[in-house]
Amino acid sequence: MRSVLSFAFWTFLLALPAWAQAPARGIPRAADGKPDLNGLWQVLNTAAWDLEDHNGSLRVPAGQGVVEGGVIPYQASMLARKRENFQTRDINDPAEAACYMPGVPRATYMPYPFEIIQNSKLITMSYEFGHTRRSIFTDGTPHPTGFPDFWMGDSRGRWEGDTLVVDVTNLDDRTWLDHAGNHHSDALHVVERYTMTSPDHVLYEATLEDSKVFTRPWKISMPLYRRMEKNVRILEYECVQYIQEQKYGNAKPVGAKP
Amino acid sequence: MSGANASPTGRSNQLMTGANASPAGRSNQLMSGANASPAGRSNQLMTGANASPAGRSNQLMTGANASPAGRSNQLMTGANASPRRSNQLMRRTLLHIAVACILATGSLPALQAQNQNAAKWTAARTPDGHPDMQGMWARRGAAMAESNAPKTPLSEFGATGQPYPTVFNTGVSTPQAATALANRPAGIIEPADRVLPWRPEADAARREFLSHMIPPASLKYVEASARCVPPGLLGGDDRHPYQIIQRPGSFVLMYEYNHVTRVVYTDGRPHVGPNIRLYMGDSIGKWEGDTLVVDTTNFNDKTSFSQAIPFHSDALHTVERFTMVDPYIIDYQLTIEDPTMFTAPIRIAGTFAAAAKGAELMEFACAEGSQTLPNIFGFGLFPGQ
Repeated sequence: MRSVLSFAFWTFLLALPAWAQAPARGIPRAADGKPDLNGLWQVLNTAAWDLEDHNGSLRVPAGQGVVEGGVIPYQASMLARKRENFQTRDINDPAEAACYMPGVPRATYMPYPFEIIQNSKLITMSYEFGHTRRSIFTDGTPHPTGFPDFWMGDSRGRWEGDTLVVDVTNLDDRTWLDHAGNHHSDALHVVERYTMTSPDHVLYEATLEDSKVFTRPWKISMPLYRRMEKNVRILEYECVQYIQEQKYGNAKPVGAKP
Repeated sequence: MSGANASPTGRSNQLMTGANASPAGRSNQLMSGANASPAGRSNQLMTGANASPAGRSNQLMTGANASPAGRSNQLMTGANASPRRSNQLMRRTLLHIAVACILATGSLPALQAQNQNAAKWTAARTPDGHPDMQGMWARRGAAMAESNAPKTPLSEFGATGQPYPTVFNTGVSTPQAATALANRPAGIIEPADRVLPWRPEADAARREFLSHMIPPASLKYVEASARCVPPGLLGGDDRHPYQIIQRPGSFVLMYEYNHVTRVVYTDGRPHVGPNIRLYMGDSIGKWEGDTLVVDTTNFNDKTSFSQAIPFHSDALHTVERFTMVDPYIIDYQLTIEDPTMFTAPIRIAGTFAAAAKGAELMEFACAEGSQTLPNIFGFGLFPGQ
């Protein structure tokens, strides 16, 4: 009996790598045979507040970090700015205090749904937060040269087997990576990987490389969950309007008639 | 630019041959160089050239890039890599091609004959059997242009003479503009005299609103686009292109302007609950034959119809009809019902014309870094601003 169990155990262990690498079965596929990512997705984690391990505080849920290795590898001189950002986050976080587009990868793990709109040449991600949108060109075109930085960067994608790999450059250095003030420069280069692990789950991985701010490339990963409620759709979170109302709603314009 | 562009390949080939026999052969080479386009694509360019006897380079541009969906994308990619140079090159080259074509075919009647053939055009289909409207489009003519609109303080204030940035904007000059669009219905078509059926109290309210816009009496009197308010169905700036993507169960209309994405569900679902109110409304669609009919409700009352009509009510209900009439034209009709403002429905006509340039929607950032409201109010969102 023991030998049977032992056999089963070793068989399982040996089979594990093959199972892990096999193409995901039963995932939806588009007409071109690629995994069909169309639909509404959302994270269920606290990365938007802090990518690293953190305790709860007022209006901040506690969370285990999503950074591989636990800690973001800042260059020593770049840590001061992170600490300063953290201290002033409630008034200086570009996304939370001014509702600027969150940038990549932060848009992915904001606590709002986003929709993937996919065809064979283009994958569009439409985020509920501030109706932000980015287009990922999968037609083989390279990043444009001579273009300025964009809040959401320039995204070019390709399929590696069943994984969508997105190369993102031209990212504006004014976005933060989370509400804890983690930051980057205009040299940030992000490589994202979207892998469907079931019809309703996507493994999201992003590698961040920024020679001006970090000592080495580092990686985050997290699952995306399909929003499955009947008739669910992207609604509107128009925080630009909400913030304007809060800031200027009772203010008198300069030069207004008395 | 009627359906001539859809002429059977055989005919374009013929014309091509003619063109190649002429000095334009060289331009053709140039063209390929500029866009790295394989021969097949040049065919299409030629077709565009031939379809517009009026032969302005602008118009030709339309033909060049007006191809539905994917093809224009590829073309544009080349242009985007160095927008200025390629566009100039393309324009010059197309002009050469056009002249050569007219020379080669001999006369305009030949072109007209081609136009008649185009009546047989039928739309390409998506896998689920509907007309394939996917691609980049310029919207033209869809505007709430009253014949008796009151003068707005903005119309005097607005002419700052600032050049519109076109380098990184995909722009939507469309070759259609000169000829075909001139003959298409545009603006308010019902009532025919373009005098809107205002309820007196609503008309008075908007005139009161207009009188407080400059200088703005408070935040709500600051013009909507300056506040980065999502544009609604008519408040956008049509100098920016649109992109259509179709999926089974939904039709997606993306605006470059203010990066709005409208997902129109065609899967039979009902509208969202009545207490959900949206800047862009809730859109559901159904196909009536080859026409997509989009019903939109659940609007809030915070978007504008035009400079002179800076608001509507949340009772607004719209019906849009998208009908492709040739590869380069989508007929667009919009019916507006807002019983608290107007005593009768208003009908507006417009056109989505295939975009001349613009393979890719660019990022349109509005609130990000904008100094408009800090200038108006004397302080910014961030401390120290």
